[in-house]
Amino acid sequence: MPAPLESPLRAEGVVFRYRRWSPPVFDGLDWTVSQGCTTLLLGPNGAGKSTLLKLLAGLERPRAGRVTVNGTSGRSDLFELVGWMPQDVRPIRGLTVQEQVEYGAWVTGASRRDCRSRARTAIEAVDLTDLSSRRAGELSGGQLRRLGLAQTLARRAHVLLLDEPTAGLDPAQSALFREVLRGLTMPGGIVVSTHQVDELADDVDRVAVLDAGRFRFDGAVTDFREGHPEGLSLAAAFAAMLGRGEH
Amino acid sequence: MVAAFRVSGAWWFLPVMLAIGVTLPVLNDVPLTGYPVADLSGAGIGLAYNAPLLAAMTSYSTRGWAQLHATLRPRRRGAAVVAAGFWPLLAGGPAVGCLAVCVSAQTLPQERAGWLLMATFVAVLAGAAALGVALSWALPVVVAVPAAAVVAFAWVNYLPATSSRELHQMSPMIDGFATTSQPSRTAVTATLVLTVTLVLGVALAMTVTRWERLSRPLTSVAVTVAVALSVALGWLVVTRSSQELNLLAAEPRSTPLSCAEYSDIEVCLWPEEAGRRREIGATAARLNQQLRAWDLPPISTVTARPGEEGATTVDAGRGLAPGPMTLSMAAGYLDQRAGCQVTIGRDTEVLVVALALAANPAEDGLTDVVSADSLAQARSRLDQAAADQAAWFRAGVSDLRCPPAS
Repeated sequence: MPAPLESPLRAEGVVFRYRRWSPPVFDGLDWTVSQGCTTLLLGPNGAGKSTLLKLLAGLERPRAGRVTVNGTSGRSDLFELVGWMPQDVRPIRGLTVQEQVEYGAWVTGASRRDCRSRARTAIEAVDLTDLSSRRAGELSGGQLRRLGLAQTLARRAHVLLLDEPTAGLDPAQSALFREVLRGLTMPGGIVVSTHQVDELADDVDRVAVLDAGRFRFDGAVTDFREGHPEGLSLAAAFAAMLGRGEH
Repeated sequence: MVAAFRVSGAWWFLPVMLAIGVTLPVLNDVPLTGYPVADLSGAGIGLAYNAPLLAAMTSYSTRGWAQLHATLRPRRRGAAVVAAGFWPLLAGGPAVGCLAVCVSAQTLPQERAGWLLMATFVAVLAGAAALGVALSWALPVVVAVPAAAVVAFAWVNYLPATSSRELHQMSPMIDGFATTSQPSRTAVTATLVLTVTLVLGVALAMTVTRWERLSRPLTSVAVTVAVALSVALGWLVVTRSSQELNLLAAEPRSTPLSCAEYSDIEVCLWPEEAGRRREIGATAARLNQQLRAWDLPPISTVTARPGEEGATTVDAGRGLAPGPMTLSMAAGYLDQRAGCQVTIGRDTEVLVVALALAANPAEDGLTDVVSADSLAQARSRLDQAAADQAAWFRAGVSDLRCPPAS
């Protein structure tokens, strides 16, 4: 397990727009990923969840402001310390599950021998050991997501960002993925962006609600539920928040 | 290691390349002369298909590789990533292409010119592979794959078909020369400079990126610059060369001759012809008997290298039957007497055949290479009285004229 970070993954005054003259997705956004916690990142379509994760992962560069981890804002540090799993996990043609996970570690700069042991551990963590010699291109959607997670874990990052990890999965595959997720702990924290709010409600410590490029809530799950009638689901609370414009 | 063969498709593509490289020279009836450089060059016709195929294959195999790696957020350089995934194709393609050439030619390079020719083939195949990778990197796959095939095909096959001497020197298809010539320094240097610049240019462009976020216009510019620079440098080598350029991209062979003496005749042949020294010495001795009878100076030196002063040139390549070999020596004697390579017209041909017949009464193989009319005329001359034969032959020799200088 990687050592804890000296300072967390953080967005500081981030301004981002896709094109120079397009409206900003974020205009001075500040946010800190809570260390040791699993945070559910919620927001309507177009709120900027995927963009935020890409910025935190170092895939996109802020036009102004910065993203820091361990006190530095170098892209190389973000690549090293932050793991990111995209919505669309692509199998590499011709590679087996084991080989693809090894490769995912190799591109980060790990030695080949190190990659093998990292891959074994990561594949075990996502419960794909039985399929490790199968071609990645033959996996189902749910298995492919777990492969993506293994590939991300094999990087030995300190923070884990998962973009819509259960989108499009059938209930069984989704449950299996949540089971895997439940067993993960990352010193720098885990952020899960999703629309399947209630599915993950019991597995997270915190909730952050992003709407139109601004955080409307960032706190513990219990705080999020506060003020809503007892028994109201997390999804309903989320909908109510957006509908009423609370926080 | 095994995974790279699967990812790149090399496991099935390289055997196909080998088969094409070995089959194509056979289908085109490329002759084997025993001269390694000429045979390797002839077998290089396999590159006509293998280079464009390799370019298209690398382009197809590496499709989407950069985009895939954008999501993997690599900390390694683009060139390292491509090399790791596709080395069997990038290194194996040139290696297998050259293996096919050697198998077809049934020889390995044995002298500097041969090694340079093989280096050119390796570089051209590597250049084709680099071109494929570069186009796949810069363009959408539906454009990149056909573009890679067409550009490589035009480069290898079209340049030798143009009438431009400069363009001829920049094509790898250095072909069509005899046992007396070798690929020109200019052609080899220009092709090597062009291909090495292309390979290094593409490798450098990929080394400066990590592929986490690629701009297609920028990659297109990088590829265009690499290709343009390589062509410009190749062109510069050709135009700055002091060597006279020709459409064969060939120059006189520089291999040292292997010499020995037979019956006071020095016989100097190319190394691969050394086994025929005794036969050629004996033939020259028989011609000398006739020449002495006709009161003409005998042959003192027989050489395989044309243009040597005071020597009679002979073509003694592998597979050349004694008859044609004798004819070539007879023609070489006339050239020596005239002091130039005479034009073989009808009258001259009769002289050549008559001299050859004097040395080769079996007429072995002559009927296949000279006209029946010349053969009949030569025979009738040899049926005349010895004094008349000699007078006719000496008159013919004194009438020999050199062709006007071009």
